[in-house]
Amino acid sequence: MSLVVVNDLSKYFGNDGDTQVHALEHVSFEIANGEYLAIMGPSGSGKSTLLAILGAMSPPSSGTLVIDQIDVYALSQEKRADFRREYLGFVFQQLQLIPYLTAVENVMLPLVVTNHKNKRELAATTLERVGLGDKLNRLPSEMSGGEQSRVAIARAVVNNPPILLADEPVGSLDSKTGEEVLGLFKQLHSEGQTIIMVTHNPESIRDAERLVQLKDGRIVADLMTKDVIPATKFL
Amino acid sequence: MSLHHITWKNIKEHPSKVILLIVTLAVGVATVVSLYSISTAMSVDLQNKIDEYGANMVVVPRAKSLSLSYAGITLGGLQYGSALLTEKDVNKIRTIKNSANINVVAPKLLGIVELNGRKVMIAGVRFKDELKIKKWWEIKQGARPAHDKDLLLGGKAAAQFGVKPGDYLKIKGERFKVAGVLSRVGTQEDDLIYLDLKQAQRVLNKPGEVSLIEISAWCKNCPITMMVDQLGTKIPGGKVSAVRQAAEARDAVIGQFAIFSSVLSVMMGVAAVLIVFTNVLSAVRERRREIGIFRAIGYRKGHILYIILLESGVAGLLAGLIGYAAGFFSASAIAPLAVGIDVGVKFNPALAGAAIGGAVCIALLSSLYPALSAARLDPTEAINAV
Repeated sequence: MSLVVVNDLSKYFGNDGDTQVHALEHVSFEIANGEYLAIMGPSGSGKSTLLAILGAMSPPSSGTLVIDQIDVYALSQEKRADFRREYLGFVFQQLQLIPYLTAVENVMLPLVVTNHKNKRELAATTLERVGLGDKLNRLPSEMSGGEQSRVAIARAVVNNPPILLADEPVGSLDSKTGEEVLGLFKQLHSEGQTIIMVTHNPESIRDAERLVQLKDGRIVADLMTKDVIPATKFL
Repeated sequence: MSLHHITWKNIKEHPSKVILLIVTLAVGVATVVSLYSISTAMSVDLQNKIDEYGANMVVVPRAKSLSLSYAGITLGGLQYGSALLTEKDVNKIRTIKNSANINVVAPKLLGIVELNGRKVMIAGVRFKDELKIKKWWEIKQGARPAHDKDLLLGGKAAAQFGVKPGDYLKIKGERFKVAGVLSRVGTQEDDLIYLDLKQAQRVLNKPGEVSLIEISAWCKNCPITMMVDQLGTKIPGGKVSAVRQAAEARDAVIGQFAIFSSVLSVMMGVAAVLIVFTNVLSAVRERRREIGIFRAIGYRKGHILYIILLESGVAGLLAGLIGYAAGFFSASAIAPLAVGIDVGVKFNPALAGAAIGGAVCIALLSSLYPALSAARLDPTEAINAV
C-alpha cells in the first residue's frame, strides 16, 4: 500500500478569470513507503506549490492528499499542525535555522512540543548521526554552510518522521558540501527513510529512485531514475 | 528545552527590544503611580484642610417652635428660655464610633441682653475651640481673650458701642473687658459679642446649657451622614445636621482630583497600550520567518501565542515592579517639594498590586493582536515558500 496518495490535485491562485494562476492542474501520483522521490521542473512549474501541499501547509483548490490513510486536508488547521509534527520532516531551501539557538537546540525544536523524554540526548544523538557530535553548542553563525545543512537535516529527522521533505537542499551550497548533503540523504534513504526532494538541479537527483517532472503545473514525466540517467536529459 | 526556553533565548538575543518594552511600560506605570500617589496625598491633605475650615456638622435643640438664628442656622426653643442641649451632650460627642474623626467641638450658648439701652446678641463660647473652628477670624485690634471675663467683639458691635481693646462693657451689671475686636466678615458674626461659655451661662442664668454645638470633623473614610446618624443616636434631644455647603464643596474638590488623576491615568494607559502594541507588532513582523518555521514543524497556534505572550508578560511584570518602585519614590520625593503637602506618600499594597497587575495586563492585551496574527501566519508565506 502507498504511503502517499496524491489524487487529482489542483491549485489556483487569484480570482476566477484571466488573472487566475493555475499553479497545479490535476496532479496524481503515489509514493511508496521508503521511496526516494525527486520532483523536478523549471521555475514556475509548480514544484514548490506541490511541496507545500505535500507538507500539509497549503490546502489544494481541489483533489486530495492521503498520507498513511489520513486525508490530510480534511483535518483542522491545528490537527494538521500535529500531523506535520508527527509525519513530516522539513529541510528548507534556506535551511531556516533559528540564529539564536545552538545546533542542539535547533535540532530539539520539533521535540519541544512533544512528550518525548530526553529531548537533548535525542537531539545530540541525531547530530552525531550527521557528523556534528562535537559541535552541539555552536550557533549557526559559528558553523560552515555544510554544517548548517546537516543541522537542518538533523532537525528534520530528529523525531523520526515517516516522510522527509526537502526543498532545494543543495541549492545554495558549493559542490563539495552539496555532495556531503546528498550523501546524507542517501544514507537516510538506505535506513528506510521516505524522501521527497524538490530540485531544479539534475545532479541532485542522482540518488533518487524515481523522478516526477512538472511543467506548467502538470506532470510531464514520472520515471524511475535508473532508466533515464544521465540526468542532464531532464534539463 | 521548552517553549519558555525559546522565549528566554529570544529575549537574550534581542535585549534592546525587551528593554525598550520594559522602559516604556515602566515609565507609564511610574507616572500613573506617581500621579495617583500625589493626588491621593493631596486629596487627603485637602480633605483635612477643608474639614478643618469651619464646621461641617451642627447640633441644635430638637424643638417645634423656632425663633432665633445664628450664622444661617435657625435655633429652636430659645424664646421659651429652655435650651434642650447641655454640656453633658457636648461630652457625648467624642464617644461616638467615629470619634477619631472629630477635630473640634465648639459648643455655644446664645442669648439676647440689653447693653447701653440696646438689645444685642451674645455668644458664650470656648475661645480655644472657637478660634480653631473659625479659621477666617482675624483679630484686628487687641488680642485673644486670655481671662474668664475677656470679650471678643464683632467689628460692627465694637463700632456700635464705641469700644476698643482695654475698654469695659457691663453685661447684666457685670464688667467685662474688651480683649480684642474682630475684622468684619460681612456676616452676623460682626454684630455679636463673644464671651466665655461659663460666663454666658451664668449671666443668662442657664447653667450647663448650650444653644448649639458646631463640630468640625475629618471626613476621610467616614461619610458625614454616618457621623450625623451616630451623633443623633448619642444625643436624642438634639437635631444633628450636616452643613450642606461644606460637604458639597468638599465632595466637589475631591471629585475633581479623582477625575484629574483618572483622566491622566487613562491617557497614560492608552499611550502605553499603543507603544507596546506597535513594539510587539514590529517584533512579530521581524520574527515572521521564525514563526513560519515553528508552524511548519508542527507548532500549534497556542504554542506561538505562548512564546510571544510569555515575553510580553515577563516584560510587563518587570515593568510593573520597576514602575511602581520608581513611581513611589518619585512621588515621595516630589510631593513635599512640588506640591507642599503635609501628608506623606505611603506604601499602598493595593496600588502596588494594581500597578504590577495592570502592567502585565496592558502588556498582554497589547500583544494579543500581534500574537494572534503571528499564530495565524501561513507558514509557507512566512518562510517565503518551502
